[in-house]
Amino acid sequence: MRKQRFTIGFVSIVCLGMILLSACQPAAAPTAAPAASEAQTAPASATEAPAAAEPVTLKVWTQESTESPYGQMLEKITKDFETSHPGVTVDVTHYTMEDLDKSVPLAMSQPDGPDISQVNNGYSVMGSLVKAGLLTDLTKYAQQYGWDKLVSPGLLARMSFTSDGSEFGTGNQYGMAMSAEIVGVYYNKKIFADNNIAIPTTFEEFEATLKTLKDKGIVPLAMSCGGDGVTCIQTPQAVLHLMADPQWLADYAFGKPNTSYNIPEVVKAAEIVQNWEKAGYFTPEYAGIDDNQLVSQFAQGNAAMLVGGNWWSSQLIDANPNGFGFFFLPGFAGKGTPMSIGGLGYPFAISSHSAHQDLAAEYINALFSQEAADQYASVGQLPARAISDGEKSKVDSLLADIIAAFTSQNTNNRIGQYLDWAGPNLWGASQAATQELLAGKITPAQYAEQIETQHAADLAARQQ
Amino acid sequence: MSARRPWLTTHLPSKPKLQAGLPYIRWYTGYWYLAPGFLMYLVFVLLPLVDTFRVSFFKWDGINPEKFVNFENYLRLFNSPNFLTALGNNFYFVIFNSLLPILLGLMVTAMLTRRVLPGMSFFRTVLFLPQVIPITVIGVAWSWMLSPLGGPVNEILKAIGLGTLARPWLGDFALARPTVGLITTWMMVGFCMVLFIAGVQHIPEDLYDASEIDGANEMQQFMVVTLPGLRNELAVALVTTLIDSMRIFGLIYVTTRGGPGTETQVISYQLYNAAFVEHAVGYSAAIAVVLTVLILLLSGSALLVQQRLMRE
Repeated sequence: MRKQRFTIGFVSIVCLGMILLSACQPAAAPTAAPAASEAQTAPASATEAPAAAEPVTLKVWTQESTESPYGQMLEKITKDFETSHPGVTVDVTHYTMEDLDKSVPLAMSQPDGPDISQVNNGYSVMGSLVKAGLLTDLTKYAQQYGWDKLVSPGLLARMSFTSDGSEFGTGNQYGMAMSAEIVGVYYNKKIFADNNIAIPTTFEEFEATLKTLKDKGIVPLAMSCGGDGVTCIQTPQAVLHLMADPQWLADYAFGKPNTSYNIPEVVKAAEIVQNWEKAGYFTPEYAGIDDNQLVSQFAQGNAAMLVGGNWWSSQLIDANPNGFGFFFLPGFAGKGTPMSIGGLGYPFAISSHSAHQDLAAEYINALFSQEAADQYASVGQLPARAISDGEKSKVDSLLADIIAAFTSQNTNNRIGQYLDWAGPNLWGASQAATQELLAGKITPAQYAEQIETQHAADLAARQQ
Repeated sequence: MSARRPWLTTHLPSKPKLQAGLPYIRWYTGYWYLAPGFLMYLVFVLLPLVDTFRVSFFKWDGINPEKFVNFENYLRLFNSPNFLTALGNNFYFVIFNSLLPILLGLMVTAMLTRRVLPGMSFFRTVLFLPQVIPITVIGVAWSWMLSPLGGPVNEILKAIGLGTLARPWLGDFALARPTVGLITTWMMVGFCMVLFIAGVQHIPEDLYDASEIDGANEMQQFMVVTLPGLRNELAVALVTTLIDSMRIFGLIYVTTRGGPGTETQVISYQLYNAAFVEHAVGYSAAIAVVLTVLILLLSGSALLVQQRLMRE
């Protein structure tokens, strides 16, 4: 009897403990480290100059983890902001990109949701939120703080929607991004130097370089088709950007009706990339690896070049400082306008429910300051505004290349588009189609048709 | 004995007769004990089920007001070529996730239970472990093991001279589906085995003795005594694994994302995609309803066939 009582008692305590523990979960589920910066040392507001009337908490959600360079920079800027704004606490919660995309729509419609959150461009997330009236129009802040002077209108348009959320790329500005993005070609400096290879200035030279490297037994172009499929999708799209009409790129990416992906340039780009696969220019195991594995391998010198976005730069700089360079994919000889996939990073938006609109705008402005930009560059990432001259001399040669490429393309209005913005299912469809194209299961013409079928379906679904 | 009582009075809960020594319990007290659990079930399972069915007739992105669209979501689903591909893949996984584990489970049971083997509990535990490990961990671990860049599977093949067999397993168009299938088999064998071993314990020993006297060998004993004795366990295994095959999602998401191409695309993945990527909640609700109906039909008919085949 005593043994039975003991067992019952023990089991009840364990169950109670588990229930209590599960109640201790934070309300929303962040990834690595939970929320960070409550940097109040002492309640200094008493002795300080007149602080805010009452303590204010600003809730910020970000898709950067605490370990990422941007995440760390965010922490630092947040602490500085709290110091310069006594009485204000900034509560930053870190998510992953996928989790944030899923949580943000629901959270923004709650009264106690975040004041500021990173919001994905495009109809799915930002568009829906604008339609529901949940985001603040930032146009007046942009003018007040001069954001519109520091970023070209073409790039600002990518955070704009008409006030009913029906049209993307025009109308009011609903987000502000701190970082810029460009997709180009990373190259391993040692491999180039050892084999006397010059940076190609035309597309024809680029293809010749691929052949030269292959003949020497070096993997010319890193490629991976598994996982999220970033490299897989962006390689043919980067080639497409060398041929496509800039207006078509913008119209297509902003989801305008009466645009089609099934155009000759797409078929030609697909054909070029398929031929590269047949010639064996890609990483041999490309079908079974994902982008993270690929970049790690590339950082160790397994391939000569990689078509990728600037977001890999920190990882490459850490692995091999000054060991890599970057150039934008050169255009065909005689055709002067090579566009590069790119744009701004993940924008920050202000919730229309927030009781601290002006304060939130100030915070966003702090993220966009010169110091912030310099800090961002110091950890190897590309800021949206130009960095100061002092910082320029300190950056790694890879980042210097990236900044030069972005500045050049941006000045000449040659920053292209993320083509999957046209519809929510286009990322998956493009990855599947590219996998099939590279495996030789479909022809380039079918590749264009397949993606267009999904594009048309997405457009139709949005019109209803 | 009592005369035949009307059906109604024999089937209503009747007041329990007082027994000496026990406290008086009202006849309906049992329902009070069930109430909290049932309330949870009602609020978190039954009501959402009904609401999902309701939402499937609307177009809704999760934030803005919903719009009634009648059967449009269902029409879209049935007209979608991906749906048929996904359905086909689900049926393909039934072979690996349901049929194969049951067969292997039976084989293992036959081998492990006729004699007392030392260390039996160890083997039982180890073979059951895949059921205990979270699916994400399984997916990540297998992705790593099957990786063409230094993953153990390919490295071992190369080490024993079978390097030509090394492949990008999860990225190969021909091999991705069977590879994922085999991972599910690995996961399910333990479950089936544990179920059958437990079931074998209930088979009376004298049946085996009788059959031995009649001159049956091991194989015949298995077919004539063990298998029929496992009738109920087989039913449970069949239904559970079938439902699992139709619902498969986590493993696919972590290993292949439905790729390469549409090789491992499954219905649950389309559901997830519709709800969380496309933000078309009504459409995903329609997929959920269709999936539920499919599961009911499939497991119901499988159960029927199994009971008929193994009728006493």
